[in-house]
Formats: sequence, structure tokens, C-alpha cells
Amino acid sequence: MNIFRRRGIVDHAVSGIAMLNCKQVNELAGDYHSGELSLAKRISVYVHLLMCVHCRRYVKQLGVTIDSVKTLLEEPACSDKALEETISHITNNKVKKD
Amino acid sequence: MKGENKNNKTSTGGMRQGASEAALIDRLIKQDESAFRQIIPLYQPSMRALALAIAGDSIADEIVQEAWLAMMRALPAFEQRSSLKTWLLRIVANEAKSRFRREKRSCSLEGLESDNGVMAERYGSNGHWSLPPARWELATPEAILSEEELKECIELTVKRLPPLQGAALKLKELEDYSSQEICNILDVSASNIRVLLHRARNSLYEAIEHFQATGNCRPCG
Repeated sequence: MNIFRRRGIVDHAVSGIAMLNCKQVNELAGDYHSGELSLAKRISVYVHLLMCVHCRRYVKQLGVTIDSVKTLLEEPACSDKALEETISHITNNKVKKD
Repeated sequence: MKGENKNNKTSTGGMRQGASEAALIDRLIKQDESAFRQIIPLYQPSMRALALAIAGDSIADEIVQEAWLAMMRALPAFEQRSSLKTWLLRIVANEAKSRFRREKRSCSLEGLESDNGVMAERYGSNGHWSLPPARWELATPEAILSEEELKECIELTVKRLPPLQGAALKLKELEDYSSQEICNILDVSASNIRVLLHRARNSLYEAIEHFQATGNCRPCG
């Protein structure tokens, strides 16, 4: 039963697999990295990458780009001064209760 | 805040969603100062980063302060269909977008006017590369971030992104929100979120590539 069920999922995925060109791979590369592609699209990208050295390089370097940005732009913690300013702003403007 | 799971079923800002958040909201409605002291350090950095991306440095703090007050006013009607943080970020995004429109009418929020995205000119009519990617000498995040000028160039490129591209990028890559949650926060369609993220990532890719090829940051535009 499980085999049939699994085969059903695979058939469904296979039916959505398409031959992609390089520009289409570029459009899907970000979601490929973040794991937000459907199985069929993921397989389609993977198959293209097996054949295309330029897209392999682009997708790999895009991953490096994303990881660099994540590290670089880490948010600074909220300073004590900012915390006190916000608290005082809120307490000075407390909403009047009915 | 980095790497936190913003999923409603688990945690937000170190707080369990559900009963504990409901109790916190109750304390906030009662204007309990200790509740504010609890959530401000958790949420304010993300709120400021979002306001900064959309409206710029000069009014980001003002927008965040306004958002806290707007939250106070609206909290009794909050239905908790999203986490408190997601809802708060949506308030920030709305305030920042309206301030942006008021003060900088000539610029575009999305930067989606052109039909062709970033890098589109690097493909031929058959969709294959006409100008393939160069191999990077600095090929890891550690190597890239060890170059001070390249770091500055990446920061500058992020600052120069059209407001909603910068906001979508920060929500995705720093806050780890799903595309669906970003749609909810920025009030943008799912297809537009895909395009915003795609263009933002490719702008950064090309900035790093250009720097590695020339030693200079790409000029604006």
C-alpha cells in the first residue's frame, strides 16, 4: 500500500518536471536555496544543474551571496538607551481606557 | 533574533506562542510596564530594521515609536491569527510605507517598473547564458567578509535596494520568515514577493561579482 502511495507521489512530481533553460533556473535559484520549491521544480532545477556548469557556478555563488548577507546584516541588539526611550514614549502616551 | 523560528506553532523571540503569548498580550492591554520591558528588546531590532529598509535612517526610529503606540491602540482588537511579532511588523510596514509615500513620492517602493529583472541582459533570446558567471576568487562567506571594502560594498548595495526589495530581503534572510508570512507583513502578492526577493538577491550577487572583477563597488543605478 505504501509503495503505491509513494509511487503516486512520485508520479505526481514527475508530471510537473520540466526542462528549464538557464534564465528560468536563475528565477528559481533563490527559492531552491531556501527550500521553498515544490518537489517537481526542485528536481527540474537539479537536473538542469547536472548538465550546466554555468548555472552550477551561479547557484553555488548565489548561496555564498545569501550566506554573506545573512552574516553581515545581523541586527544589533536593542541598547538600554533605546529601551528606556521607548518605554518612556509608551508610558507618556498611554491609551486612555474606557 | 537571527535563526529563530517564527512559526506560530513554536516560538517567537524566545517566547512560546499560544498560552504564554496570550497572557503577555493581556498584560500589555493592561499597560503593565514589565510586559513592555519584556518585549521591546525582543522585537525592537527587527522593527527598526524593517522601518530602516522601507523609509530610511532619518525617520526609522520615529516610525518604530509610532508603531508601538499604534499597537497599544489596536491590541484589544488583535485576534491572534498571527504571532504578536508578525502583527507588529505589519504595523511597522504600513506606517513606513505611508511615510515613504508622503515624503518621497518620486521614487518607487518596489522597483519593479522594468519588465526585465536584474541579470536579464546576461541571457540570450533562447534563455541560455550570453554572459556566464565568472568564477569567484573569494568563494566563501568568510573570505568575502574578510575584505573590508567588499563588506562596505555589500552594505551599500543593501541600502540602495528599492524599499520593498530591502524589506523582503531582511525579513527572509535575517528573520527567516516564509514567503507567505512576508506577503502578510508587507501586504504584497505572492508573485511580487518572489520578484522582489529575486531582484534583491541578484543585485547583491552582481555587486559581489563586480567587486571581485574590478576591485570597485558598482556605481548606483
